[in-house]
Amino acid sequence: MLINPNTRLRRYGLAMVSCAVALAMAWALNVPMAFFFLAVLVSSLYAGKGAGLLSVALAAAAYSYLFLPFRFGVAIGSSFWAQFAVFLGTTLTIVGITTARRHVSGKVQKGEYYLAEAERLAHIGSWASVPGQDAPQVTYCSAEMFRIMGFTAGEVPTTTGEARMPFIAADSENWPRILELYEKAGREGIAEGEFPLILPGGSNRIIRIVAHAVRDAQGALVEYIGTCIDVTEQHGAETALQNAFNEIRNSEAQLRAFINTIPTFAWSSRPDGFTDFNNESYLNYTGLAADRALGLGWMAAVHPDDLNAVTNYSRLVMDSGKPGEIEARLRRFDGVYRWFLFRTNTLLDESGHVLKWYGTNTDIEDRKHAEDALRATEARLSRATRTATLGEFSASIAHEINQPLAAIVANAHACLRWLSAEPPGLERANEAAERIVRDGKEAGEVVRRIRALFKHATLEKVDLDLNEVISEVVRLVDGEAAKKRVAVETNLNKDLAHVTGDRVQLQQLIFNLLLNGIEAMDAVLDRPKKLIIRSEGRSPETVLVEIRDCGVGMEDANKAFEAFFTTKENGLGMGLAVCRSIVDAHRGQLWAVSDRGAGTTFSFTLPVESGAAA
Amino acid sequence: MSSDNPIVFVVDDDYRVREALSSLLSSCGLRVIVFGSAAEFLESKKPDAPACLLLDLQLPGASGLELQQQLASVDAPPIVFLTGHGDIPSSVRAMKAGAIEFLVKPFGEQELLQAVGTAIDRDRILRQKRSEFAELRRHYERLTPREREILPFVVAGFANKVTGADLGTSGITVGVHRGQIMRKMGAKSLADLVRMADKLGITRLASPV
Repeated sequence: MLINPNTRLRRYGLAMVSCAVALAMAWALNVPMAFFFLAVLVSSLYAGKGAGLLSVALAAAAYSYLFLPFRFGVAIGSSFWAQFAVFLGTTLTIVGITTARRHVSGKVQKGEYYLAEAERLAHIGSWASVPGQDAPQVTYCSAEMFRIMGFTAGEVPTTTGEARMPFIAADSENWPRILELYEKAGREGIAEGEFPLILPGGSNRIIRIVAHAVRDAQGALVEYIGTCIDVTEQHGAETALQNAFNEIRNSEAQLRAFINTIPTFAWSSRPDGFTDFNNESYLNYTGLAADRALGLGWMAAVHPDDLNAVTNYSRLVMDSGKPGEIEARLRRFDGVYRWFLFRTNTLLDESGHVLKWYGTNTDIEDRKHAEDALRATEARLSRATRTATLGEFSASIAHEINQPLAAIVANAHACLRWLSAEPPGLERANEAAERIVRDGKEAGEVVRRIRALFKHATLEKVDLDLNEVISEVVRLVDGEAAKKRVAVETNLNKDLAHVTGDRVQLQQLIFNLLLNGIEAMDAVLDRPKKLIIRSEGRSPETVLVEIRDCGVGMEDANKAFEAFFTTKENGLGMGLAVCRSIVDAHRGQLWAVSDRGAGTTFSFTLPVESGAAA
Repeated sequence: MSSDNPIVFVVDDDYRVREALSSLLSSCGLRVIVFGSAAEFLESKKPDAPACLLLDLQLPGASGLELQQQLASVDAPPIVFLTGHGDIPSSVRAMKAGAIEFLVKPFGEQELLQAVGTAIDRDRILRQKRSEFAELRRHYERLTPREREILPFVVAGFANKVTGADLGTSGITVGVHRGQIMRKMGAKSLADLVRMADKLGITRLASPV
């Protein structure tokens, strides 16, 4: 309500005070009726109907008592009643009119109040202006508009209709645009624009102003009405959104540049294996068009010999859903094949399903060459070291033994000569003979020392799966076999009983036999070089291992086990002798069967329960 | 005859070998002097007699081959190498550097004595040659400067008259000098003198023919 209910007392007070004042004035000036009318009017206009009626009653009472010739119990005459009726009628009419007027004005006030509240809540201000000579003149600005324009609460006019303040000065840089806005609204009926303003508080805001041209029935422009709203935050949000968008675009460009320039090939595939992206380095290398490399198109660049392996690999990776890698050759745009390391990784969803495959292919051609060279060097070096060590060793053994032998022989001759001299030099002969005995003993000591040196350290016997040992050694000789184009085939009995033995020595044994087999086929040119290693349980107590080559065979296979026997140009003839000593130490047997011209089979057996030490 | 009693020097670091060789070689009537190292041998005073050096290839300190190199510049006795194990590169080097033989231990008596005999014979001849040359040098040094000047003309077969014309003197004077040269050098004939001049390395002048 516009009037606070708490003021009821005041309202009725007003009625009584105004009547009292009217009474005083009427008394003083002796112009009764006019002052009472005024009191009723003031009371009913400012204090409502109730107060009006009260003032009527009070005024009527005062008027009739003081100014009409009224006598108790006596009808004074019709003039009194007539005057009283006129007075009452007039005052009641005044109350009636003012109350009706008050009612309308209350409604208008309410509407304005609601509008102001709505504006405040919506943060929308409203304004009106009329067309003027130079420019439209602002005739109205709402309270919310003042707030929007940066006025503090105290400065906002309470009665919004009274405000006519132009917020945009005629000399500001926004002025031409304001005129433009009016002009456009006049032309098109409605127009809007955004204006960056520096508000009284000093803050920078962006205000959107909408103007609407109002025309009368004849179409003449009557006035402009419009709204204003602060869109600074909205603008900020828009700018932030745009910035975020730009940032995303930038980072995407960076990522793309990164993917396309990393010195490796990058690609991705759908869960079904369909390749949907290949980076530029990949395409540049293969020379494939981007659309041609999609799907399985990239396979066109895989070396025909590697195609099977790559296909199997892809299938394996897809089936397992796990990362994997493989080496294969890829054709360069100019037809040259280079080795690559293919690596694949998976992107999984929360439940472990593949969302995407990601992979790289890295050029390892040069590294591969370097590795081969390194392996070759290592092999040469180890052979050279072995040869050198054995060479030095044998020289030193020879020296150790030959020194006393030379002395013995010379002493023996000397002894004979002294004995056969004329006269015999018995004493000298005796001395020589004694030296023979002494040196002979020393030579024996040397031999004993060398034997001790050769004797193996205590065997470290453990439970062994021979198949495992064989597989380890086969891996070791793989490189050598591949280089000499020898296919090493294993045929291992899965249920082979374990043996007890020294792992290192048995490795050495199998290594020597395999290497021996590979070297035995050096001269083979007319057939594929195949080396077969086979294991089987010969009896419940014995396991058998066979190594069969398809070399040229040997004259007398079992002579091969003698130390220093060799058919090889640069062999030492120690390998097979060492093999025999290892097998002996494990209480096994080693033999060879040679088929002249068709190869040799070396076989050894080891006891299953080989608990006894060497 | 003691000066011609040959000596065998043995250089070996193994005392057993030294003892045995010493015994064996003395049983054959040879004088033996043993050394444990190359340095010992180099420092010792050697008797003046035909000799042979039995040298072990693997010696501590300077090896046999190094000693052989050091001895190459002096009039050392011929060398017979001994080795515990024969390696081809060493034996080739030794033989190229003039070794008589390369014996691999253990060696037989015959091989040893034969090699030692060959070496001593060779040394004897070398010593003979050396002493002959020394004798010749002594004779040559008795000639006067003028006679040394005339000698190349004589051995080249120039007539006295021609030589005299060349040297600015008479043929008769040249004849007198020539007689003196023949006497002092102990040459029995002109051919003898020519041979002596050759041995002394006197350059013959271009022949007049």
